[in-house]
Amino acid sequence: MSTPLPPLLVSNEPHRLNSGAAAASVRNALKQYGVGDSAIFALHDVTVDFNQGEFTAIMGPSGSGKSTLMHCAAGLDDLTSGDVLIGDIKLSGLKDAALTKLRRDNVGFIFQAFNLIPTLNAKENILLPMTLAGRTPDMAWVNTVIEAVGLGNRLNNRPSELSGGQQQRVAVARALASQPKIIFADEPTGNLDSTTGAEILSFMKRATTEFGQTIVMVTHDPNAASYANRVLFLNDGKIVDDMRDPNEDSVLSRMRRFTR
Amino acid sequence: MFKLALRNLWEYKRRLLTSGFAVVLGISFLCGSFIFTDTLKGLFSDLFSSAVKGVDGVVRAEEGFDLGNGGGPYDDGRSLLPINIVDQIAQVDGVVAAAPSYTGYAQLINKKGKLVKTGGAPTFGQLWIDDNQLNAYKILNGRPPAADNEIVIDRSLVSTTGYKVGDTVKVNTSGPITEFKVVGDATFGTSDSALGATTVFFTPKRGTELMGKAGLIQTVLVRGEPGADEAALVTAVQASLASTKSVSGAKLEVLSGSAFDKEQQAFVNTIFKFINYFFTAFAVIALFVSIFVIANSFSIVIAQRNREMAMLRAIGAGRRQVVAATFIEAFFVGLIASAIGVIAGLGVAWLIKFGLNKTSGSDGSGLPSSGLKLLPRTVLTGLIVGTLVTLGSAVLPVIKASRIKPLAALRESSFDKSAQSKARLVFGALFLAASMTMLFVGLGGKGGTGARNVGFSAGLFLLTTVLLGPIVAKPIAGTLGRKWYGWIIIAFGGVTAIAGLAGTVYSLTKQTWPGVIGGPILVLAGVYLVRTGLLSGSVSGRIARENAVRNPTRTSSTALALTIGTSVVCAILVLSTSLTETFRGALDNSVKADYVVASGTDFGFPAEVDDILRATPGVESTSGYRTTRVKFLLRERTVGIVNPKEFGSLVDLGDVKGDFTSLSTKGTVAIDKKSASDNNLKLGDSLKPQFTNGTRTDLKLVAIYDNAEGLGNVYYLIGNVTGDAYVPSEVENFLYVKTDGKDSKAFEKAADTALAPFPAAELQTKKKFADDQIGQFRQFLALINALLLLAIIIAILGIANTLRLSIFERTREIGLLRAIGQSRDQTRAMIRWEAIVVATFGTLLGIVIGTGYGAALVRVLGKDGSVKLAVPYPLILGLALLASIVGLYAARKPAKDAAKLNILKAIATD
Repeated sequence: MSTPLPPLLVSNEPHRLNSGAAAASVRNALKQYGVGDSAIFALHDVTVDFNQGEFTAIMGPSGSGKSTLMHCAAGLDDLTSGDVLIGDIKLSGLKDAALTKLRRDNVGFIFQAFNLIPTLNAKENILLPMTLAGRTPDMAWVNTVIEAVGLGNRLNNRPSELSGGQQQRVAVARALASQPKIIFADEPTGNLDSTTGAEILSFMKRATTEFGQTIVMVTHDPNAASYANRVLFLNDGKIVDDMRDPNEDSVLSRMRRFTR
Repeated sequence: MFKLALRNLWEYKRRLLTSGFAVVLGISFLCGSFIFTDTLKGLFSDLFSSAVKGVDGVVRAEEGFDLGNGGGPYDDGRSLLPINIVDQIAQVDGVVAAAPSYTGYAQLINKKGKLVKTGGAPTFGQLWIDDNQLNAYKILNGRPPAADNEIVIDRSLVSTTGYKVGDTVKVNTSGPITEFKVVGDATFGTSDSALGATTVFFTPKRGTELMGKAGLIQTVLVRGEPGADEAALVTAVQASLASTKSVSGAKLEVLSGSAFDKEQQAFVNTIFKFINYFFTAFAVIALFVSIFVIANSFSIVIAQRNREMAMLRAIGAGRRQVVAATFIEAFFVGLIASAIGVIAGLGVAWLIKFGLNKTSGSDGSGLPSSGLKLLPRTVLTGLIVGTLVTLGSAVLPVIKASRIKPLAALRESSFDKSAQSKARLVFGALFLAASMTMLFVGLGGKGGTGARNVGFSAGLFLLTTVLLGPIVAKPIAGTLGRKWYGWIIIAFGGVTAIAGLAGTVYSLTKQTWPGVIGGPILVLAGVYLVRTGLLSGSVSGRIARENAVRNPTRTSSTALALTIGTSVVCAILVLSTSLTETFRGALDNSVKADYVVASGTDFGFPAEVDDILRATPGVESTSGYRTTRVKFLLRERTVGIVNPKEFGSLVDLGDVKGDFTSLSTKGTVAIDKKSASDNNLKLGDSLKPQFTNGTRTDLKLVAIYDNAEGLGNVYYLIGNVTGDAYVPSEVENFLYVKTDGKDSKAFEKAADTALAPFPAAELQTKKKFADDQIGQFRQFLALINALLLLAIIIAILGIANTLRLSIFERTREIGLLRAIGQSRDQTRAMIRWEAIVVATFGTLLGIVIGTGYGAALVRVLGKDGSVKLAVPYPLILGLALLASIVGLYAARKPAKDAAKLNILKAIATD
């Protein structure tokens, strides 16, 4: 399982984004379920920028609002109030068609499981967002990504013929292939054994450092979070901590404070 | 377990609703046809009974000559009685009243000078009966006819012609057209007409003069004392008539009123046998097709619950218990759905009645209104059949499901492998071999036996399709899902949209509402088709195609509903087209006349039309043609009576041995070659047939002709000299006319003017004549339409059902597609494309099977060259294209639901 990943290209590639500017930002996000006394706030006045080229992990106990934050930021869910911007596009008020277009042009997704369409082979799955949009993929870039994730000889296989790790690599490749402004990953290694998980995570990290890709990952695994260069801690719908350059221990000790 | 079954019923109510709906549909068609025939039959029986309610006895001549169809509705072949016999009978002790009765042909001419059309129902003329208990009709306005220039008409004639009491009208009879004064109108019981037949009432003297022979009647109706013994009355009347004979010397018979009623009822029953067959066939096909939908939905529902069943098994439920739970469930679904089906059957029956009234009652001569008749037999049949079918449909999938090892089911299995199952292949191959063997046996056989074997083979082939369908589903549906078919759909959609637009605009200018509503629907369908077709080449189209072949067993059994319907429709289409085209070809080949005068009545037209047309400029030759029946060589046969000098130039008789024109000598006959050799007859032989008037005479065979194609089933021809001598008539059934062909417009104009006084004579071109004659095959068309509609309704339902369940299974997949950028529009088009592919697959399969077996039937039935194969390619192509619209409508709701899925929830589904 632990085939060494091929070295990534050092990038002076044109798609490399300028580090520092926000790829996506969330402003005064409020997500409310129910009204009056029974109102529950999944997000309570959250404001955050996801900077370009950064690998951000979102952590927090269950019910803290971390998934809601990601879904709202990705345009899969809408806010009760507040704004989400992807690039310079404001999401609030966008109709479904516009949101769909935004997602396929600017957002990549990696889910915990069932990331792939079973009737399409690996390569078709990777190209899917672009073919749905009717865009001609930049094949040079796609090949770079495919080579980087190490899928060279499995491209014509269907998902049912791939291992869990391979499936997740296809999912990562798909997210990268369309060169989105930002990739959202929801527990991408939750279903994988630790070795395979580590490969996927280190690949994601290198995608940010070497391709300048922006990635936001929701996880509850401190080890996974340690691959990020920034960890946001959420509790009761609020950002309670913003940790830079984390390691497994620092994340773990921060997490322990929630349970105390 | 019982409790669980009931809980399941509730939990899966939406899915079961669809399975249940299939049962409802099948049962409602079954019960609907029962209810309709029962209602109609009851109606007819009641009407016939009430018509003879006051009649205690009937006097008539003993059965005479069987005229076959030659006599039409006006002549039962019995000889006539002198009218004075009525007075004789009235004298008999116990007879309170006796009345003469004669039913003949009389047709009213409307205000435009045309004959009143009844859509096939007879147009009767009768003698008015003064005794109101013997008369089935009651005067509503005015009074009975007293003078010879007075008539009473039935109410249906009042409403169709607008004539009312006091008006002067013209009536066409077998005699000359005569003017009458309407002095009253009458109802048949409570009905405006006797089941659509129109009736005109004359005085006895005038009626017999016009419709038959002055002073001669068909029957005498007798009424005795109220409550008196009918048998005693019959005996008394019989005794008084012991020495009396009919005009042709036949004995008289006396029927009691109840025997007469029974005779009428038997007649009603024979009429209804055919109607019953028709509707039962319809119901059986409906049910058969429904079984597929029911079985399919159950197998899908159960497949989806494999996990739940496995869980139950894992925690200790026995196989038997799991099976029992599903059985209980199926039982309730079946029972409830069948009950609803029975009730819905009332609606179906009403619709059939409504439809028939609309189509046949263009002039108001529809069926009388009455309540629908729901017999206990109908309710029981519906409930039992529906429940059993549902239980049966649930058996296989449940037993299959119960065999799954508990743990295997808890794992995901989204790809179906049953298409490759060995047992399926082996049995499929066996059925195929059996079917092909039967086909060869059938093709080698002749007539009825051959056709039966071919039909048996078709049945076996359908079973083969059930088994092997999944194997062909993958390659065929896979090919259909591609871009080339997308282009066809785009083209078809474009044409549909333009046609819809044109229809809308046209209807708006003409202000006809069906087009105003239908037009936009067509436009919409066309636009959707184009939109879906455009998607076919894209990745969404690709996914749709893959989904269609993902579970070939499911695809094939979903499509089978459509396959069965289409194959039956196609077989009937091929058969009927072959019959009509052969008929048309025969007419084209053998009729050399340019025009044919046909009768707008059942009765023919005056023979003087012949002389009038012959005198019209441009006419080269004419020959009248009428038929009669003779008894000859122990059988009754139809004989054509023609003008021998000219008939040969008007109808091609092929090679003629002997001299056809010598038929102009009295006492001669011509027959066709085959009849001659069958009966060992040669020129100069003497035949001794008996004519309808009882005369037996020698006819010399003077000509044997080769080609009887243009004459229908008539193989005996005599000259009009001979005909007039033994069966004189003032009437012709047809008149063949040949013109010089120089100025057809001028001829038609002149002929129309010349024929104006004869509304019964309709001048038709040869082509129009052929079309009209082919009109007799129109029942086929009604059958095809009804079956097609049924197949489409059930197919839409079945495909929609399967789609909805498949989408349910693929919720996560659709969520994912939407998340990574599939637009709602693309999702909808994806589902639609899948539906169109499945529908087209089913239709194509049906077309191949139906056309193949239709052709096989034509080959068997037409072995002697009597029927030539003709395939209606445009219609079949239309059927294939119709499949895309079926798919479109089936996908309407599922596509909408899929596009509306909440992405987050969909992804979170497990």
